[in-house]
Parts: sequence; structure tokens; C-alpha cells
Amino acid sequence: MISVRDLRVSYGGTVVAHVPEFDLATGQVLGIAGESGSGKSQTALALMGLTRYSGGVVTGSMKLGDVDLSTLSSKQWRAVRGRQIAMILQSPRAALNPTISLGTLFGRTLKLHGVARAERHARMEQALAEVMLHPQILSRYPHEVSGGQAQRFAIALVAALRVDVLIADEPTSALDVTVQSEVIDVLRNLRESHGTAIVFISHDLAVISELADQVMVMRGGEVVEQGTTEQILREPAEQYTRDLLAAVPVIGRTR
Amino acid sequence: MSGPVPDLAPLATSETEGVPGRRRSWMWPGWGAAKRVPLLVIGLVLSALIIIAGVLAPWITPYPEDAGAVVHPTQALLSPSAAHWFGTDLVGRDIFTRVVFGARVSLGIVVIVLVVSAVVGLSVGLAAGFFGGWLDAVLMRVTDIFLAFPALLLSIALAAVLSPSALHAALAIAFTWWPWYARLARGQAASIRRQGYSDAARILGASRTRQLVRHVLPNASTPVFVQMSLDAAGIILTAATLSYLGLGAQDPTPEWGLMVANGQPLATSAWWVITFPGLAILVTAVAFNFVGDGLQSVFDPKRGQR
Amino acid sequence: MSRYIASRILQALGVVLGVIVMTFVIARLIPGDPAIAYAGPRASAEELAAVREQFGLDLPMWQQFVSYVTGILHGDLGISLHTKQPVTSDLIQVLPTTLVLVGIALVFAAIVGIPLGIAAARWHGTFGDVAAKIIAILMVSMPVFWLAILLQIVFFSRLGWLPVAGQYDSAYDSISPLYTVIGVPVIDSLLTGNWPVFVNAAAHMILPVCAIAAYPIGAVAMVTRGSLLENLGEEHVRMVRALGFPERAVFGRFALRPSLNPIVSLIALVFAYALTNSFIVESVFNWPGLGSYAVRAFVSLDIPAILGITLMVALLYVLLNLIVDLAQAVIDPRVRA
Repeated sequence: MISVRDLRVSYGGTVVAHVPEFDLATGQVLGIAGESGSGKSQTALALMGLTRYSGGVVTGSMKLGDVDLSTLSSKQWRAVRGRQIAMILQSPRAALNPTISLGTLFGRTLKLHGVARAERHARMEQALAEVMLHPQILSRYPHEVSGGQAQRFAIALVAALRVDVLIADEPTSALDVTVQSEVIDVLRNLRESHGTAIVFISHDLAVISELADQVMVMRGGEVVEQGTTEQILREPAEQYTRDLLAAVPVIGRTR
Repeated sequence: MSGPVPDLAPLATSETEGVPGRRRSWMWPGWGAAKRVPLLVIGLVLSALIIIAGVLAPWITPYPEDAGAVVHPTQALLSPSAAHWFGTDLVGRDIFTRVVFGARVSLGIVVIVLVVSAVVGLSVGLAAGFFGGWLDAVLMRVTDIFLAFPALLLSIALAAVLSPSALHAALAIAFTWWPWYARLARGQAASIRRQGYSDAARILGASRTRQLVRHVLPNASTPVFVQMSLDAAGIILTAATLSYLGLGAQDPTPEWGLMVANGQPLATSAWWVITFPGLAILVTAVAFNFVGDGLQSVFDPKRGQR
Repeated sequence: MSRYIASRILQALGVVLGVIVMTFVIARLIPGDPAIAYAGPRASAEELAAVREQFGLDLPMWQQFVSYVTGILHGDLGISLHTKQPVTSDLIQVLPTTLVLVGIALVFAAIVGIPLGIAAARWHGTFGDVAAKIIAILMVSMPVFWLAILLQIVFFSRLGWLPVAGQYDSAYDSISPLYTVIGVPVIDSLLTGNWPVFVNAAAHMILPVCAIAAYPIGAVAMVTRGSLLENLGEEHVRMVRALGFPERAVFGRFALRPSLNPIVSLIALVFAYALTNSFIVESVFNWPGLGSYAVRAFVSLDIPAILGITLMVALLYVLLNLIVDLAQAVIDPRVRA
């Protein structure tokens, strides 16, 4: 599905993230673990083609099917984002525009990706049902929903778009522990019912292990350990990895 | 777009290298940063020229005596020429000379206002932020009341009730300007106190005054410095407005606003009498605004241009 | 919400009290004898004593303050030394025309300044951005009295396109008489359907409005640009980009609306500045509003009028700040937190 070789993200000549290689098949989940500043979020941005908006440069190759994403222009990227690849972010409510209702955002997004007006409503309802949200939420504004609801809404948005790959950047870190597991369940469900491949990024290796098939551990912009989830959990080679495994989930962190 | 400033700091990197990577001191981001803000460079050069012109006025102007109360009846209202670049005024004085001397008056007012309001504002703000408690509450309420007045209005009202002079105008402006510095300094002092910059000093047993002077003051001064350069333009405009209204410098002081006021009745027939003094105000205000805006984006990239 | 409103109103009342104290203190700071200022320099000792008694100037300071505050509460700001009329009735007479002038200037500034700021942010870092920024800085650096005179010279004396002084030509009084509704010709003529006068009065407004609007245009453009750039760094903008929206939609539909709040709070600040600038512009354009009244008061040292104007403008400013705060709380519930 997606395969990455020698990916480097740099700002003004300084490499902030370097990923030698990974391959991800349909329905598989790759977990990327690391402390803040380890380069994991920069990797996520690169996979979405969003690095250029913060002034950075991406080199190396990342193939989605047969298309090499690293060579796309801004315009070509727009045909990929939201259709084949999508992203959910760490602070779910900050990731939703405070001045428009969830339903408006949902409708505009489906319209953007060519879903006919008649079909939009059914798509929304079906997607919301998948994440166990009541359709009433569509009339709400971001500040009127909980963080967990906002994150499930974002996942519903992605489900309705039927993308192949979902990048989830710390999707549970800002949530309470009980809400975290709800979001994990919804992601698991998304993978099983749609075969969506997921890149799951977190500082918390324990959370990653609930979902991921393979794990990549990053530190200071470099990959320090990589393997199947079982391998990494059973025999972590690095003390750093053991620390991440022991990391207590941080509740209410905003950034 | 890079400015004509030589790369003096050996560690400073050019635009294409090491933007987030290399950590430079927060206090001085280096020439590399300055180069990315061309307006700052233009503003600095213009400001320097204006300051130098003001300081050297007696030596670089063709008719230094025209800065005072002289009269040349035969030279009245001559249009701009090689002998009188900016023409002459109603009593025959060289306008170029008076405009250059005007820089002294305006810059003098700026210095007085900035020094007075920064000293008062910093003292009040640092005391409030550093000691906290009831002192903080009282000082900040007083500051709020000052800020409740539109600044220009309060300066005009105050200048009106004082006898008109350049010094009184400066004091009237300073009277309305210090609360901003108080607020700024208080915020800085309070946040620095919370950050525990001075914890180490406290443990080492330094006195509170010593902590204030050695640790809090230097850290609070950078944003205050940026604010001062942004304010210089506002002060120039306010001072010119006061003297235009006859509430500031009085004849024969070569003050720009006063020159415009005196030239106003003649403006339709002798455009130069108001054009050049007005341009002097505009150019000076623009220069200071360029500097202030540029410094803000260098020191505080989140609020300025990025 | 109601607690927030109550606390904001309480704060505003505290500030109003402070403002009253301050005007009182300024009045006492004035060198010279106010009785002499009122009665004239040649008044006899008896006349001065009579004036002192009339205005309570012979009472102890605290009693003077009490009567000052009681007077204000009754809408009594004293008698203008210049017009010999109560300051309150003078102000009521001159205020509407100035508020109309400043209001139109601010609307104009928003119409020009906001798009300018958006354009600068949209093309951030390009030549267009730098050009917009230079224009904005020129606008906020313009000495307003000089700009007013230049506009007069260029558009009246040189080109003869626009009228130079007053609110409308009194010649129309015989052709198409104007009926007073609120005392502002441009509004009165509009309300009574008096087109010839309306067109003439509107033409009279163009130059003063431009002069007053210069600073607000620059300020609004810079704040719009800054606020928009800040919002473009937010997560929700990253999210809509990740959803595949083109840059035009990212700006117009998603980034702009949450950027408007700082512009709303700028309004109070800019209003105060524009109101004070209207003093100068009105006196240059001979516009019979608060500004001309104020400048006359300032120059002739008409203390009761100066204090009345200062007090009223400060009250307007406090009121507008209160309205802006409340409006923001309604627009964006995050403000209340």
C-alpha cells in the first residue's frame, strides 16, 4: 500500500526526521513511538505532503501504490489528500474550526471530494454510526463537544471519505484514559471494516501496542528500533524504548 | 531579499542554513535574522540619518541662524531653488534649515517621553509584578484608569491646561504613555518570577532588590525595548499634533507640526511651506515604525511577520 | 454568561469612577485662578468673590469633589467659558455629527483595511505582502492634520473636484430646504428624501472621511494580516489542508472567520484614535462638530468644556470597550472562559 525509502525532512538544511524504510499493507497498522521532538510528527506531516506549509523540505521516496508522493506538486497533492490519505490530529477540538458547525465541515468536505448532494446525508449518518455518534452532533460547534467526541467525529470524516491510509498523529494523547480506549476501538473498527492502513503515532508505546502490527521507535529524528510489535514489546533493545513502554499516559496535554 | 548590512557576527548563518537547528541567544538573534527583515534595515538606516542630521544640524545646514527668530523680509516665500532647497517661509527663513533643526526638537521630545515613561512604567510594573499582592492590585487599577482614556485626548487635554512649550508637551505625552510600559513590565516580571529565573539567586540569599536589578530587569527589558521603538513613531505624531494645535513648541522653535500650522493659511499659494515639514514628520514616523515592526518580528516572531 | 457580563459591567463602573477622579485632579492641577479665567482679568475683588461662591470654589476640596460628582450624575458639566452655555447641551448639539463622520470613516476603513490585510497574508512573504505592509505603515505614520491640508489643496484648490469646508452648501437652503431630524445634514437629507442636499452633503464628507480613515485603514490591515497569519499556524488549518481543501478555501472559508475577533477588539482602540483625530480634521475642514468645539476649548483654555469633552470621550471609550467585550463573548464562547 505505502512504502517509504530514505525519507528525510529538513528545515533550512537541518534534518529533523530520517526514516530509512517501512512498508505498510492494506489493513495494517504501523506504530511510531517517540518522545516529543523525536521527529515522529514531522514524519506524519511529510506523509501528508504538508511539510511545505511550515517551510520544510522532504527528500527520498514515499510510494502510495504506484505513485511516488514525494514528486507531487501542490495541486497533485490535493487530489491525494482526503481521497487516498487523510490525517487526524492530537488536539481534536483545536483541529476543528471553532466558527463552523461539524455538519457544515462534513458537508463541505464531502462536496469537495465529489460526493453527490443526495448521497451526502446517508454517508454522514453511516460514518457517524460507525464511530457511535448521534447525527445530532452535526449541528454542534467544536467547543460544544468533548475531546473524545471531536476525535471520533474526525475519524467519521475519514471513514466517510473512504481513504486508503490514515495518519493518526497522537490521536489519544489529549484524552482521558477511558476515552482513549473508545478511540482505539473506533480505529480498530475502521481498519477491520474498510481495510484502512493506519500510521499510528504516539509517545506512549503501551497505547500503540493495542493496535499496531509493527512498531518504529524514533529519537532525535532517527529511527532507533524497528520490528513487529511483539518483538519490540518482548525484547526492547534500547533503554529508551523501555522508558516509552513505561510512560504513564499524560492526561490533558494540549500539545 | 537581503539588506545592505555586512555579516558581522561570525556565527550568524545565512538565510538558507540552519533556521531552526542552530540555537542562537534569545536576546540577539543575529544579523541573519535582520537580513530577513529588509524593512528593519531600511528603517535603521533612515533613523540613523535623521538622528545624525539632527545632531549635526548647525554644521550641515546652509543658514543655521534661520532656526531662530530672524527675519529676512526680502526673501519671503521663495519657492524651492538651489539656494533654498525647500524654499523659504513667510518671514524669509530657509525651510530646509528649519526642517533639519526640527529633527532635534522632535527627537528630543521622543527621548524625554521614552525615558520618563519607561522609568516610571518599569518601576511601577516591576514593583507590581515582582512583589505582587495588594501593591500589585493598587498599581494595576491606577494603570487601568490611565488606559481608560484615549491617549492622544489625554495628552491634548493635559497640554492644554499646562502653559504651551515643547517640554510641557513632552511631559503631557509621557503622562499618558507610561501605563503601557507598566503593564508590559508587570507581565514580564510576573512570568519571570513564575518561571523561577531568580530561584537560584533566592537560594543563594540575594536580596530582593538585587534579584530585581540583576535578574528580572534585564529579562524584562527586551520586550520593553521593542515597544519603545514602536512607540517612537507614535510620540513623533502626537508631539507634532500638539504643536500643530498650538499646545506644544512655540515660535520661533523650528518644530515640524508648528511649521505646518503656520504655513497652513499660505498653503494654496506656497505649497512648500507645509509640504516639507509634513514630509519630515511622515518619513521619521515611517522610519521608526519600520524599526519597531522589524524588531518585533525578530524578537517575537509569533506576533510579528514570520 | 450573566456572571461574565456582571463582572465586566462592574469593572467598567470602577474605571468610570477613576476617570471622574482623574478629570477632577487635572482641573485642580491647572495653574492660575479659575475665577479669573471666568470673570476676566479686569474683574474686581467683589466680582471674583461672587464667581467663587457661584461655582463653589471657596469650599474645601472634598466638598468640591462631592459637588463635582453630584453634578456629573445630574448631567451637569458646568458652563462653558467660551459659549456661556451649559457644556452638556453644547456636547449634545455637536456630538451626532461627529459620530456620523467617525462612524462612516471606520466603516470605510474596515472595507479597505480588511481586504488589504487578507491580501498581504494570502501572499505572505511576496512582494505584494511587503507592498501592503508598506502602505499600512504609511497610513499609520501619516500626520492627520497634514494629510487633511494636503487633501484640501489637491482636491479643492488644484483639481476643484470636491468641496472644502462645512457639511453642505447653504445655497441649497433656498432651492431645497433641509428639515432637521437628528441635526446631521447628510442623514437628515437622506431621511427626508432631499436628494440635492444629500449628494452635496455626501461630497462634503469624502475628504474628511478619507483623512480620518487613514490611520484605521493601516491599523486594521496590519491586525488582519497578523491575526490571519497566526490562525494559519493553527491545527484546524492543518486539518482542512489535510482534508484536501485548496488554499483559496483554506483562507476564505476556514482561516478568516476565527481571525476576525482581534479586529473587533481593535475597533474600540481605533474608534478612540479616530475620534481624537476628528478633532483636528474637523477644524481643518471647518466641520461644526465635537472636534471644532473641542479645539476651540483647548486653545482658549475653556476648562469646563475641556473636562466635559475628556470625560465624555472617556465614557464613550469605556462603553465601547464594554460592548466589544460582550460582543466577543457572544461571537466566540471561548472568550468567556
